Amino acid sequence: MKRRADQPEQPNRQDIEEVAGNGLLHRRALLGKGMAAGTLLGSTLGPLATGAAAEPLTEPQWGLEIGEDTPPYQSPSKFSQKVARTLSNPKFEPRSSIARTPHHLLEGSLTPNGLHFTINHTGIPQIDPGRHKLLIHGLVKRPLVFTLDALLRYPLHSRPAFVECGGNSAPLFSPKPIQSDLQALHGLSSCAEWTGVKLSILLDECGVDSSAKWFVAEGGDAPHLMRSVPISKGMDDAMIALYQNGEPLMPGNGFPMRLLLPGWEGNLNIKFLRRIKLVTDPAMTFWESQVYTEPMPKGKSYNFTFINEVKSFITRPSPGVDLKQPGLYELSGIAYSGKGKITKVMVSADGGKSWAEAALQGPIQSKAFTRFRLPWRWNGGPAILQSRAWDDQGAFQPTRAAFVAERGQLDREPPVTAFRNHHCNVITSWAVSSSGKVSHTYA
Amino acid sequence: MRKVLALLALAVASPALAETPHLGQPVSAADMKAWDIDISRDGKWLPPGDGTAAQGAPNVARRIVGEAGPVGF
Repeated sequence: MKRRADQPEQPNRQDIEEVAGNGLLHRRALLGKGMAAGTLLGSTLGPLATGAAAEPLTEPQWGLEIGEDTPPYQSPSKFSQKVARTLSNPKFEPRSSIARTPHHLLEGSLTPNGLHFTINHTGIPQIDPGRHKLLIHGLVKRPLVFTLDALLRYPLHSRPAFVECGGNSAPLFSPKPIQSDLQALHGLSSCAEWTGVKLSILLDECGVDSSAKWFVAEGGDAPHLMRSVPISKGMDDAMIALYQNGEPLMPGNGFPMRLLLPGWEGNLNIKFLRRIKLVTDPAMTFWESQVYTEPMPKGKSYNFTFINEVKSFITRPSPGVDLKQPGLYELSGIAYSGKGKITKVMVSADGGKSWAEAALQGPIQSKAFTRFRLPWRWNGGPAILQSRAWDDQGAFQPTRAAFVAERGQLDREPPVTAFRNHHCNVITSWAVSSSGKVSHTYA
Repeated sequence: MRKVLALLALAVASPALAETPHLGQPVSAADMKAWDIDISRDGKWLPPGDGTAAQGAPNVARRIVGEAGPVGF
């Protein structure tokens, strides 16, 4: 597509190259810059002032009066109240309380602190940070106790990291696609910038014995939840996190301190962390020998599945975020890998027959959410939207069929909130009907 | 000679350690006993007591109520 220097740019919808079936456009088509041809400005894409004229503009009331007082800590607009977590246990019955992130109502690559997913088994403890202590002991030369004040004098380190429950996406083990929204299907994964002290510094100060191969981390709330972690992760990128997106940890996310194991199963990232014991072997706690295991088709189970494998899903459109009329849309979604950085996300609008490469929003960071986007011209016909991510370790998302062949699926549809199996990272498919309604499907 | 080499190795390895704050407080085995509640996989650190898994199961069922029933959270 060549253009002479004296030729004015003409809005021409045919200029926009369709790079995959059913209306997927080139990932650079919406950026306006850095395009090979240099002619594909945003204005060439959209309907050019179509439809009825805008109503006459008038001054609304808020432009004529004094607004409300300024609170010490801001809350979202009252018109954004739907941007909220869903609660599994709103009456606080004696069971776990699970709150899921509304990915379909969010953008960017960080989850606001009030919307970070949480799972708490016996409520949220009210821990006095001045009295909380962290003990490191076991196979060390010097068992030591650290206060929060002490930790705040250590060199701090910040990094984004997603935290994902091993049970996130578990509804996709159902033999039939559960008709629920993105929040119910994939809402147990969130991403924040965490700031804290590298665990390796504290372990070095304690003097780790060479016989120590694992450590058991324990929370200070009533369940005293314990998980066993290989010492190599502790010396690598493990962190005692004290801040979440710049402010002290949220109570539901482990205030005043939690273990952060970037990229690893959420349950291992012990909240309200109070104890680390260095040991020779894993403790085989309830959480690692019963709860967070993966039943396999032939009756055996995986356990110690540490890494959350590469995953992606389209957040807009998605069930409940339907399409109004045919035309140009931007597909938007999230990709992440517990092994490293996202290198590529491919998107399909025809159920996987053809694929187009999505634009990745930088900076792309290891073990953190990466936002992907791709322009799509919906022609008003049926479509099946899918995304598939690759990471820098060469891993990529399996199709659901390939995943089920290896890991199996449930015999019948479970409650959408149940975790009957764990660590599902299959491609998610959204069916778009000709009315624009979006539903969950398998393709 | 071996001792000298070992000391040299320590001297090379320690500068990085020396630069960290070292603000942990020492604690005796007796003083950490109340928190030392994990059990080794061979049961070695179990507190005194007796019973079988079958006898304990009803207690677990009574005390732990999962999101998805007795199995699964």
